[in-house]
Amino acid sequence: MSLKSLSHVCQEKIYASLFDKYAEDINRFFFYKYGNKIAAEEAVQEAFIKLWENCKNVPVEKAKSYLFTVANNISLNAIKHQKVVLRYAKEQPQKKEDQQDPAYKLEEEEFKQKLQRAIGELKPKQRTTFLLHRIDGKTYKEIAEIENVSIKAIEKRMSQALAQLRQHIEQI
Amino acid sequence: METKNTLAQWIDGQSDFPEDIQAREIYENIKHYSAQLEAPTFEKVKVFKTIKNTRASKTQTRPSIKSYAFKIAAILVLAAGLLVFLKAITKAEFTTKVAQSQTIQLPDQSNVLLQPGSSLSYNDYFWFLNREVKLEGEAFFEVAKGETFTVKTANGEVKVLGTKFNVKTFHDELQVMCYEGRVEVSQNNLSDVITPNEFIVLSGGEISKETLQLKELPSKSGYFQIINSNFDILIKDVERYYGVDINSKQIETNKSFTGQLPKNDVKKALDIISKTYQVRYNTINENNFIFVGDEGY
Repeated sequence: MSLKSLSHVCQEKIYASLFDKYAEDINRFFFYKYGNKIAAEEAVQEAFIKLWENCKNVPVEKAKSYLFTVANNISLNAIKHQKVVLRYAKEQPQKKEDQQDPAYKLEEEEFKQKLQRAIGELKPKQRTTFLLHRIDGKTYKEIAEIENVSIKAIEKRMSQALAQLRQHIEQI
Repeated sequence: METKNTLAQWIDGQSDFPEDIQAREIYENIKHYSAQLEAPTFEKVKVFKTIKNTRASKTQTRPSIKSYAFKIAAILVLAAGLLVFLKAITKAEFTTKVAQSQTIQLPDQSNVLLQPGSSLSYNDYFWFLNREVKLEGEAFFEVAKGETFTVKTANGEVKVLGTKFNVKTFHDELQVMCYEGRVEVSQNNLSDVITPNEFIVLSGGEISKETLQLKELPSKSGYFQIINSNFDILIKDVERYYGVDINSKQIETNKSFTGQLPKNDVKKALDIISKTYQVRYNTINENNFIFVGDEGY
């Protein structure tokens, strides 16, 4: 056995650890883009099955970008775009001290709803960047690697997303 | 619409809010509430199962050139598995509690007296290929003549052909007393051979040996034989031999103890220790004693 084969993607242990590491990221990336939960799961499956079929040709250190490339290339017309539905985490600390004020609470709920709808209105690329940053806490560098574009391009998408969100919220 | 990336830098915490941009409050709210969002749960385990199933059905239809090699490998793995399995199911194991001892007869008619608080295991199936037992604690062995007989312990090994000897290993020491024949004792790179009436201790790279005449074999004797033990270890032995608790915090001594303690008579054993060390003990209850220093003497 050569040394190289010791850390081969074809090894079940390594394959499983790659799944453990990246499956959820791919799933979220896809979901943020198209809002389709089932399609996102299928994208994960397709990416990992392709990885298995090509496991001899994909070195472990290239596996991540291989997986995201496959997920990125999945035929878009096959996917039905859906409204991105997200939840707000329960029991978050309130923003202001006057948290007991029912009027303020109502206002807060209203804003949350508006933000949800506005996120749904974003272009897929903007939304993906925005949510990867806001929910998953990814850095612009990490997002740039996933999307295979420059960090500058990601920053631009983020700025556009924010401006768009503000516009939508004001209009709703 | 704003064109520069100042907003992106702001929400990333790299800079303050850009002064040339209006509606700061809305942006602040977007920043605050978007951080509370959560993605739907991803059923990782379920998805991984689906992938494995799909993968399996795909690989079946495309047999690889290497499949022959895989088959051989699979058979080897199975054989190895069977061996491990056999080893596991044919493992004989004995454990004694405190104040309890047990006589064990090995497949070759060798006898073992397993002393209190100890355990012994060996492999029934492979016994005739390899006379080997694992020991934690203390045991007296009367080994039948034959191939090399090995006692493995956490603190070293004892090898013999056919002899009578006692092995004791509770702390990081290995103590062996030879009653008959020749006994080879080793710990890491150290090794030595002892003959009848010799007692050896291997501990952390040091060997100490002495000669003493013991009248009885542990298996025939009504006594526990203690050899050259310091006070603290002696007390631990007594606790284990008789299943009692002893508080000896008040006693400080570096005198060592060699002698016999009668089995099944903890009071007598404590009397002997009191006399030797010139201390008193109080009985708290039948299983609980405290040594209180030498004022009484």
